[in-house]
Amino acid sequence: MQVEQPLVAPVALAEPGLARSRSQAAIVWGSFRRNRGALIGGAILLALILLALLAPWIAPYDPLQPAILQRLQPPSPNHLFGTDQFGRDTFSRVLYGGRTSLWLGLVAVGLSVAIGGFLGLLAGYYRGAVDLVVSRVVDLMLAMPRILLALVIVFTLGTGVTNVMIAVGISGVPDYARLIRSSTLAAREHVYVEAARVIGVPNWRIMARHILPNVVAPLIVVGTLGLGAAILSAAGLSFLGLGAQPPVIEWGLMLSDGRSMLSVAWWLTAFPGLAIMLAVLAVNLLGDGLRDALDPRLRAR
Amino acid sequence: MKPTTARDGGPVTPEAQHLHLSRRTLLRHLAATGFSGAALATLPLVGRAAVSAQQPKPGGDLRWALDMEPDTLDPHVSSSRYDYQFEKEIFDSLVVRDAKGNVVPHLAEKWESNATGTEWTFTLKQGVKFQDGTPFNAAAAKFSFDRIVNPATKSEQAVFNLGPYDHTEVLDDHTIKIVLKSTFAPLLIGLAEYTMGMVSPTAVQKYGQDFGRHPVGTGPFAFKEWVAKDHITLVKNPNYDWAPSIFTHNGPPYLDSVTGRFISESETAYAALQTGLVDVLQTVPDIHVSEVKSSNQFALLSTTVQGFPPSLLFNCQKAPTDDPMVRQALMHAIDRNAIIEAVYDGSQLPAQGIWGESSPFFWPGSTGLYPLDPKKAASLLDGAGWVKNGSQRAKNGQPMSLVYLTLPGQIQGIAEYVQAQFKEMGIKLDILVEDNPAQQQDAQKGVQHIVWLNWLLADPYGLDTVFGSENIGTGWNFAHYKNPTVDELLKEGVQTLDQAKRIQIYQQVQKQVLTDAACFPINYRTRNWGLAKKVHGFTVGPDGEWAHLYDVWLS
Amino acid sequence: MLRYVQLRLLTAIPTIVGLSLLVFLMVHLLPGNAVDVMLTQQGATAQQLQQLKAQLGLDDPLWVQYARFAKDALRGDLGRSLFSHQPVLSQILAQFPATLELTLAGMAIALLAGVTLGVLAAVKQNSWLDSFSMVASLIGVAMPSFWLGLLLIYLLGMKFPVFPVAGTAGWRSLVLPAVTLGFNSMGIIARLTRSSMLEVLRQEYVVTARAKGLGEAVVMLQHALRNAVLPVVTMVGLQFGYLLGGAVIIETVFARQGVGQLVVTAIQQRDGPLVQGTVLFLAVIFVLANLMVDLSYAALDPRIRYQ
Repeated sequence: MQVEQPLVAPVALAEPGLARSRSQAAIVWGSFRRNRGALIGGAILLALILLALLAPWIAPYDPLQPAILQRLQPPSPNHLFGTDQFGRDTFSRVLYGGRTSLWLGLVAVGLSVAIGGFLGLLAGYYRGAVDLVVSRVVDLMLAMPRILLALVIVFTLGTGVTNVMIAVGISGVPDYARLIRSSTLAAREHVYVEAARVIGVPNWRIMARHILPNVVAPLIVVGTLGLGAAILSAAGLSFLGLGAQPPVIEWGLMLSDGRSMLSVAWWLTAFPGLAIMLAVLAVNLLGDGLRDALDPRLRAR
Repeated sequence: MKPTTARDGGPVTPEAQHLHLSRRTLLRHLAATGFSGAALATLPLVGRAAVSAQQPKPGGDLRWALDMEPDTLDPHVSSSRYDYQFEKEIFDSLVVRDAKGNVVPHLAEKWESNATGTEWTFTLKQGVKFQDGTPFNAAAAKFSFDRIVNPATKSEQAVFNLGPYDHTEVLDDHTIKIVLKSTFAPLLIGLAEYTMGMVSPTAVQKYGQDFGRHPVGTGPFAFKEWVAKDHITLVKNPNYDWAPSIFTHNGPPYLDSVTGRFISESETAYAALQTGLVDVLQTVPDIHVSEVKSSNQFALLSTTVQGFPPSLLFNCQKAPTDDPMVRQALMHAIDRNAIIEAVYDGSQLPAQGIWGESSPFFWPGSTGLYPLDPKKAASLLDGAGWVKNGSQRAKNGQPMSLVYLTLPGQIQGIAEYVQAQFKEMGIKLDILVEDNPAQQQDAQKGVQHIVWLNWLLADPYGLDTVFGSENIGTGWNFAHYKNPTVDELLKEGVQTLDQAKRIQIYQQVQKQVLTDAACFPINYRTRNWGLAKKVHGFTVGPDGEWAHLYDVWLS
Repeated sequence: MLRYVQLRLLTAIPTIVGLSLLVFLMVHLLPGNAVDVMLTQQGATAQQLQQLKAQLGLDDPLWVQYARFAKDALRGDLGRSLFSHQPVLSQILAQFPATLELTLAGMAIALLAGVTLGVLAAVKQNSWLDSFSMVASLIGVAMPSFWLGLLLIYLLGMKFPVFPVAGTAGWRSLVLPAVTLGFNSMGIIARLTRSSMLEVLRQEYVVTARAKGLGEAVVMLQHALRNAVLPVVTMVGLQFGYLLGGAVIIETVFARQGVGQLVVTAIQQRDGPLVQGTVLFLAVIFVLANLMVDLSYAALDPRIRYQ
């Protein structure tokens, strides 16, 4: 290795890793394709996302437009999922609700991954004092039931979609922090990492080039499964009245609204709840499939 | 400028108490089974007006479901109507109001005031005791009044009922004189409020700040326990012997105990009634009202709640509703009962005038003033120049187009219904939905022809805000109504102390306003109580909000 | 063993202290004038607000406030609710038994149903029973608890009134909430038991036991199950926190008494002291429960103690 060419060496060192991950991808995809559960999950999720994205075009009615005289109608050809106590079309509302619920979950998980991953990376790479502080904080967060953490954050910040994203996002940080930390600790031990540090490659580059690619795989799996939990948490908070507020349409909020009509209008609670379950089920199946596809590869290294 | 909507309480206006059940069920049963003593005996009899073949039986625990938990049971501190329901059973006041709203003796046997109304002397009933044994006397009464005005008590409602209170003098063991700093006509009515209950000095001294959780009064029911977020239990006061004349019996109450459960979720509360977990449901959800009405197991008691009835106000300064003939025509075109059926599931009682039949302010002329009569409406419109041209009415080439301003929510349904009805008449109605404060501002500006209004009117003096011309653009005169006669009457009403005169004045106001077609009342705000068959003697006070438990018995 | 107990207890204390700090900070870091909003909702004027804040000690520096809070908490005083003016701790203690009852019942159902399903699935691997239980656990994990609760209320409380729709009275009112609460955990436990059981069944000592001619039931219960259950025990500890949190939602759905609905109401009403007290209380319970699980795990598996 030539000391005068630090820019080349790390790339060369990483080369084997990158090459490995490229062929890895092909193997992973193959295994994934064969996992029936994962395919079903993926298909359902795709369908839900599409429906949510296309809602403004497919929804037969304006989800916010009341028609009091048409209220509490059971499902019919005119109103696939019936109407609520204000005469609003439930089907349209479920479609629009998907936009909120799915997006909420996605952003929340993204936040968890970003913050947790960042913290875990720092803790695992630098170790020492940084690790100590981060680990203590993470342990502290884990010492509380997760929904409680989210609830307190909602108390501090207030209700509303953005705050729910933050609350659920932060409450999910410990999982990813730990995961990334242990992956980082492991990846750190590799020879080429040591070598890179000896050469003097800046830390951030090492982290980006060598550590991160190795943590991506478990991250995807846990993240996917975490998406399901995030959707449930966000819907749960909205159900309690502490999350999305009207006129925002969200599946958990729809359940809460429908509850006061439970004995006369079962459709108001049946369909939004079904939607939540389908979304989470799809995500879980997908996550399981990814895990089965990815893990053995990792273990084999 | 905006009238204060009393959070709860405030001077009480007598309202109608309608006994849906007894009339209807009576007729139904008579038709089905023939008039027989046996048929009568099986009727779920509710209210004093119904004929009872059964005798009251002592004993039993009345369980009922309430929407919300009280904040405190200290009447002097209270401001929530959920507090009052219990306080009125635990405590007695010096006076009480009957069904017509007149003040009658309770703990005070008689009273008189000086000429200027600044000194009121009350003779107190003898032999009255608090539930902890402390005798009730002049000193105890003085203690209560002084406590109310004491800033340390932090009274939120009671203190207003005493007005310019100065002090109380104990003239002898059973006579007190309340001295006011200035004339305060509403004193007597104020003293009848549930917040003015007499508290036991012994108990207050014992519990101090926690008296609200350990209330002791002279009422028919004594406090037993309060399990937070679950229930409050009251037990019979066996020494009770001083019931006011508004009740049908004297002595201890029939019930052994009363348990009030707090169930805020409407379906849960309804299920509690259905499954027999409770015997009384304070609020039957609108969607279940017809079920209860037609049920054999339960009875529905509909009472009207104090307040200006939810009404449509017609803009008297904006064409075409500036023409009184047009307004009258439109009123003949609106089907009140259908609206109540469609929007409120038939759970509300239809209004006729601003006050209902059992209120002293009721104006008999309001009944049937604008009955549903599409033909008459059509001819009136024709007479006003708005003639049907195909499917649309027009005048001088201008099609008839109106704007209806509404708040969002359930009441939007009223707008929708009116829109449909007007369409049949050839009138185009646009619905403008706005939330407050925008809605209020626009209504004050008068962008609309029709707007819906509803508020807690404690006393008729508040009519000034809705129909006084100086409140156009700043108050709630959304009808932009300007009538110098009415303005005069309203001014007079505020200053008159004589109740009979006041009644006359406000009946006149109603006559003017209603014949001018400025206001179309739709319904009286109705509270629907659900009662199990075994509950008898259950009545609701003139305010329509709180039940009297003293005469209740279980079969 | 004793040393291990002492060690674990020692580490629990800084955790609890840390939690109290965390909760305190989060409650007191209300943005902007949110505290003022909270107090003005009680109907205080600007002057009264200043007085009230001084009275409540809210204008002291944060660390002073925390020290006061910690000191009071140790004496058992968690302050008074802003709304009901009742002591926070007594409110919590009054509500806690119902939550404990619900959580334990939910745990019991989750364990019984989960382990049974998992064992059956493992024993009859790849049969319809296996698929069924796996599907059931998949659904169990994906189903929102509040939805399941409402479904059960509708089907078994309204349509066919088998169980009471709400409330806390009597054992019957515990059934639906406990089933709802335990359903999700049941799914997780079933899957774990299944895979753990499958592992164990492949082990040598099981084969040996079979070869010895011991009856199938004996093999199952004495050898296989006992070992398969170990990882489930750890899971129980993790699940307890989840169940405790789940009780928050379930209590609201079924209108039950409990600390969970107390927390929710406190947050809805922005009742700072009550939120602080209830969250801290629940967190401490969680820490203690985990402690007990760790200790029992150590008791079951001697290897743990010497780590």
